[in-house]
Amino acid sequence: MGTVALSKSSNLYWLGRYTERVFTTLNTFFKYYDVMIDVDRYSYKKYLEYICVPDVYRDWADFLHRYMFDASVPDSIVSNLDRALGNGIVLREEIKTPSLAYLQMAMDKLKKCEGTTKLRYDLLPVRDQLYAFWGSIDNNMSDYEAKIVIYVGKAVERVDLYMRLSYPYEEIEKAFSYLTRFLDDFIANGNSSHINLTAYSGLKDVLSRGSAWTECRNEALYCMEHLFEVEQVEKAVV
Amino acid sequence: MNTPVVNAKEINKLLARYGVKFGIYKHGEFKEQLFPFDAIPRVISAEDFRQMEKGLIQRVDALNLFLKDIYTDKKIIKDKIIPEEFVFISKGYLAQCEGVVPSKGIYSHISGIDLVQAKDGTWYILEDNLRIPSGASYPLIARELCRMASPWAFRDNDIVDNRNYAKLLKDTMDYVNCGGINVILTPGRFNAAYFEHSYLAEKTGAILVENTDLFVENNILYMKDFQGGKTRVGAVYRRISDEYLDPLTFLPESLIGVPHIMDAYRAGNTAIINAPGNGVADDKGIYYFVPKMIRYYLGEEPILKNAPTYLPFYDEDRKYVLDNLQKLVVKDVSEAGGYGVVFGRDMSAEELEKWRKLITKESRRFIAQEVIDFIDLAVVDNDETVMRKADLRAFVLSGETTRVWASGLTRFSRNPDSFVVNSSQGGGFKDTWVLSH
Repeated sequence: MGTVALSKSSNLYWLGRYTERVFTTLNTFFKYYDVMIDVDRYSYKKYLEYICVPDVYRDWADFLHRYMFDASVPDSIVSNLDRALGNGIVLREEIKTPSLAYLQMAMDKLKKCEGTTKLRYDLLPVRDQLYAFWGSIDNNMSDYEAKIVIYVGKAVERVDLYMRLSYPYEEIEKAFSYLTRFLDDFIANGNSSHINLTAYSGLKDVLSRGSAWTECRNEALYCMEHLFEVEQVEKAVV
Repeated sequence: MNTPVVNAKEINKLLARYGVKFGIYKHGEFKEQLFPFDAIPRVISAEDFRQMEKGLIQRVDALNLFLKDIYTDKKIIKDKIIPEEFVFISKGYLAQCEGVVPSKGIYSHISGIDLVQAKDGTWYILEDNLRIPSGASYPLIARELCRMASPWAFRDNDIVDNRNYAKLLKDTMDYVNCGGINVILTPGRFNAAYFEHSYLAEKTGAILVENTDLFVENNILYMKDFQGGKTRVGAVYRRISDEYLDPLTFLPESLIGVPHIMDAYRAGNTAIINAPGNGVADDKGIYYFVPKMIRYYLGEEPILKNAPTYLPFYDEDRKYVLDNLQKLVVKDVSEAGGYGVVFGRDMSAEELEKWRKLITKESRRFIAQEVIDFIDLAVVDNDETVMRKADLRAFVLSGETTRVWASGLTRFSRNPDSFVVNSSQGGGFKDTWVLSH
């Protein structure tokens, strides 16, 4: 990755993380929203607990609106999309203008959905734009090593969220195998110094236990959290 | 125009889609907004452009020779063509650049020359921008989007394709490159022109960097890459001002500069585009002398005219300015971006008197110009076609040869009573068509 400036690596990684965060939380939100229609209006509390987001909402109606559209709530979908877009903007020459445009359109579309009475339906194009964004990244980015960093970010976020949201083990395993593919490539490209290999092998170990991985849930989440924080994890694991 | 540009709404949607924005600070807060685009292009005939092109090349060549002279032999001062006080007290003159001749002897690689067309068709130069002229990216992307939304206008009108700007820029960077990669140095995401920085990086294949990505070792400039390695940088298209460029040479408090970059530049190991110190040549006071420079360095008569300008520094000019202030426009030479410009016709008797005193007291600080009654261009405002003042920023690129981009940034005022077209003050922009025959 000789032609990517050092300062951009963090943007590449977080671009991957935030786009995936928006995508996965949006999908999960859709499921909870469905339950909220006629089963349990307060099921969103469980969702917030899973993803470790503070419940700052007055009630379910407040949640539906502010979790989606309130830019002053740091964990709202619009805030996370704004961070994805912010990272994308500084990477225009890497990811190319057509890819960036999909994030811009996702943001424009999301903002237009405010006040709608058919939220899930109207939000579908936001998810579509994110699909298109990933397709465009795949298609337009020529620097494979830079691309891997985005994919690593995306995969890390996916595994992390799947574990937090207690997705079925098969889904987590699939996501983890997606992560290992890119992480191993990343290491093979001479970037092992950026990764805490102890945390990485700890994670592999926990997730090799099948459904029983949940017994070591906290350890797995800790390793995920510190996958790129070499010193801290080594100390913690030792 | 055989077929007009249609689907303006769609073009503006595309501009939003591709994030064609500029940033402004309002009440200390950074906000990005779309640059208002008007789909009716400015059209320049092939003949007009040929003449303009010759005049611009002549002017920029003379300005480059002036810069080289000022920072080396100073013949133009010794020969008393320009009084030395106009050079050395200019804010743009940098003593730190004395004796430095940049790669290939080019100082102003990208020159943004602002022109207006009077009602009789004559083009006048309003000012030269030789430091970091911005704006080329907007008509560049706008053309691409107009072709997408209104293709037949481009089939039925014979327009020179302007989408070669990135190639012209890359050629210029490559020509002066001292060995290594080309980078575009941006102050960062919250700069007003960040869209332009990132778009030009994408289009030229240069790497967009911030100061923390660069370092100097043994007078060689390097970019830190992701793996902790370093890549030599041969040309820096910097989009930060001279005074912030190198904290060890200019402002020590600069947090956006690269320490020792001036050492690498002085040693001839990297090109800085445009060269530091160019401000001495685009000073509003020096503008008055450009026709004299053309005669002095090139032995030619200027092809393009300056707007009639008076320097209160000279007794005769000062007398004229004080007697005719009510019909002149006064400009503070140290201001830019449409700031520091006042029109005598808008002043009360009391204000005129106040300005007369100020001009007398600080005669070097101001220039005065006749107000050119320049042509209005048609602009669509709320579905209604109205006439508005507009200027043209032409881009001249100096590399192996001096070339004029067959397009430019046409900026217009959105306020019917205003001559100020700057985007920072609410102006919009248009595509600029140069007809091919």
